[in-house]
Amino acid sequence: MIINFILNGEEVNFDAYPGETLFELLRRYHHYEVKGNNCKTGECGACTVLIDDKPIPSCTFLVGKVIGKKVTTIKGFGDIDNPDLIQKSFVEEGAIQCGYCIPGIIISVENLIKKNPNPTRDDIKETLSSHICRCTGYVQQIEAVEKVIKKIKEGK
Amino acid sequence: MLKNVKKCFYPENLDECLKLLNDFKENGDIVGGGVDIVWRERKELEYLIFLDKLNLNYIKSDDEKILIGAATTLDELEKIDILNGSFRKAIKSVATPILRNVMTVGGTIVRGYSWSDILTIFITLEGKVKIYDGDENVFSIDDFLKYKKNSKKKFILTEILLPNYKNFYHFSYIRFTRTASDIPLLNEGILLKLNGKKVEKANIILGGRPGFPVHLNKVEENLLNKELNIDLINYLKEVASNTSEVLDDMRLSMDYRKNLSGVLTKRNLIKILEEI
Repeated sequence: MIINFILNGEEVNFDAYPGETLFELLRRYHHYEVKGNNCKTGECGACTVLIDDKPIPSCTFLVGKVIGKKVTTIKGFGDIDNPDLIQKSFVEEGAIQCGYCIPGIIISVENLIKKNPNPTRDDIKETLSSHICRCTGYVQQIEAVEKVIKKIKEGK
Repeated sequence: MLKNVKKCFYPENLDECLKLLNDFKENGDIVGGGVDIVWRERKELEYLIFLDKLNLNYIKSDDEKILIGAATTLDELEKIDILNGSFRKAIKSVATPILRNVMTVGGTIVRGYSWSDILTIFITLEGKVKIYDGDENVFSIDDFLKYKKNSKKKFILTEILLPNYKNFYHFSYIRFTRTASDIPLLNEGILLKLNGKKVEKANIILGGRPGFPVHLNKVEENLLNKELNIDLINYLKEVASNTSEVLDDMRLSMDYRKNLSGVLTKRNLIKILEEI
């Protein structure tokens, strides 16, 4: 079946199997920036993408539900040459080690700051609770998010 | 990947949806959020029926009730501001933010897993469900679970109804689990109607026992027409531990669950006592 949706701002038409997930579809079309599929239950959060501005684990989202939606992967925010503020902050604070979980975390954080420009530490922790990171212990990630918020407030 | 799925359908009305269900029998199913369908990878599933064109994603309210469309995701439920924010807190305790963005309230209730947080929350709050099986029927959630088990008719859950709780009602919910996204080892919801500190009505529901949620009848009886205070709460903790109908499973022993039911009862009642 042909699936039509907006991917990182561009309209795409992908040929999909009716029983596959958005994660499987994106990987088949070489969007390797979507990491994960190790849990296949939405528990680890590594494969998170934005679907109509909500962070959603793409491994649980069937392609039949994607038609006409707006999908944003980590590439929609920035890349290694042009990282956005959150990506820069994660690098500066040492919040990235193996990097496997980071695309999903960045997407959830982008959504948090868009919805709530002044989140508390508890709000940040709740957002990160969607994601499993086995390297950092989350402390640097919380600090990276707080740094972004400070920078935004200072207008940097 | 659901390897045997051949086609997706997008019915435009309930009759069309019901016809598809009846035609496909066990080879077809409705997709709510899809989390459960993807996870279970049922081999017999060949046809997926999506509800996107049925406009079942809404929350409406009037003075007496709140109507929730079956395709409403759990994160949308966080917007319902009743019971001094306790309902919102209860919903926010379920799973993780990204899973709440995809799980639907109708899908969760239809699956009817005995450990479901949503079942315990909605049974505690005396929620009802509206289904369409050719006729429109409204059931309490308990009756719906019996209907689902016993009836051979195909149906579509279309709406969930909650009373629009105002003053005098207080609610608290606790889930005991290892991690946020894990299924609860035990969960408990308490709804009290209070006149001052005097209890006029009590719903105490224990779920994840691991059987379906049940009332803690003895605790409810011992609460009625009494003043809520710390001595009573300590006594009810013992009553809950001694009378809760819980079982062993591979995750937790019966003894542990019995003690835990007392602890959850105490914590829930203290939360309500602190609120009044």
